[in-house]
Amino acid sequence: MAKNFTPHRIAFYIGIVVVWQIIAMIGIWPDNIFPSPYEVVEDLFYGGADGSLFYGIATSMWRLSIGLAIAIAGGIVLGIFMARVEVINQTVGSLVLGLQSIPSIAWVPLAILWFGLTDGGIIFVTAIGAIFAVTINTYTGVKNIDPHFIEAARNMGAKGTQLITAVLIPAAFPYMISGFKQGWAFAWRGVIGAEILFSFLGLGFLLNAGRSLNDVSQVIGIMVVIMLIGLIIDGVVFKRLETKVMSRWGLR
Amino acid sequence: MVFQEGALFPWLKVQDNVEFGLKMAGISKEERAKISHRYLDMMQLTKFADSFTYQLSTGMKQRVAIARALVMDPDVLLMDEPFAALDPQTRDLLLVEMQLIWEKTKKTILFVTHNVAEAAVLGTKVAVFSNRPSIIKKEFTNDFPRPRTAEDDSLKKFQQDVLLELRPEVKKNLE
Repeated sequence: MAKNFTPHRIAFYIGIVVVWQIIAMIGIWPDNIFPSPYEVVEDLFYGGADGSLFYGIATSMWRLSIGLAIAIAGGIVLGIFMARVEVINQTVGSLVLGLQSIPSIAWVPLAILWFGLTDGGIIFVTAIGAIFAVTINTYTGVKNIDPHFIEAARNMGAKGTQLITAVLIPAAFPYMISGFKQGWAFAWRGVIGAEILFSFLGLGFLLNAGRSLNDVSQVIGIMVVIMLIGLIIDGVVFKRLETKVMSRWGLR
Repeated sequence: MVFQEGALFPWLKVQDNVEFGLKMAGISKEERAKISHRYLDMMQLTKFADSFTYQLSTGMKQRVAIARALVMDPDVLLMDEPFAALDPQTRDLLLVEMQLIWEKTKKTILFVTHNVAEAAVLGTKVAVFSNRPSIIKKEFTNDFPRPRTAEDDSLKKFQQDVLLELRPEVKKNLE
């Protein structure tokens, strides 16, 4: 963790804020176009004080969690079937590759038509944006399992679902982690994007609300929050999980 | 079955690796622990029961693999070049240990190796296979007293006899 707070890095971010403040103070652009960092923080502080910011974060995180959970569960099942059953790989597998190339935001119109302006619609966009990354990584992971693991497990009497839960999934886990990481990144983009277009609560909604109120400080403030949450989840949750799995699986 | 690389599961602790087959057979946790402790003790791995495989040396990994195969109480223990990846010193130690395990468990062990010295130390019966088609070319009976070690001079003659049968087959493979 200490690595995240190197002197260079701290100086760099302080530098950005200082330069930003100076430019704002020179006054090339009016305040409502280019707010100072102080105004952005102030805006976030008001959002925090009346609770709307935390409510927005909680709403987005809740949708993200449900969507990502669906994507992970579905992606693992799909990936394993693709890796173990050749017919499914040739049919469903080719479709998965095609669907993977659709940006999650492109699912929004369909989601609105199917689910209306509901949480369900946003969760659908989040899940569908993430599921194929999990699927493809799980598939690759299962395909790359050392055949000796499977041979040894069979030799010791593992079969059917036992073989899947006790051997295939743990053996493919290092790849699956990459899938979760990619899936989370897609899901985060998906949920924010969908919230902007659905305009129905969450951080994306707050962004759009800032736009319609002509409140540039709020827009920039929410963007910073979105970035910070992304950094924290990436650096804390996934980095740790990855390091732990890699060292235990003897890959590092 | 014991493989050349051991094929231990890196996501399981040593004890869970050893108990894997028992778990698959649906044996209760207490019963599994009882059985695995006996074999971990036999393989002098008790201290490492809670270690993960990346924390073990190759020699220890191979002992875990042997324990894992033994808990299944098989009629025949099949070992496919289990010591091929080991350094010579570790291998010599395991050759002595293998004989002790064999005496304790009285298992029939089918041991595949390319190393004639290994065959001479371990084997009660040594079968030489011909080059394609692989059929038993000649069987030797090896009744030198145990425990044997790789340095035993009395085994040298036996090794030479085996090599004499083996060499032409290896040559065919190169032609």
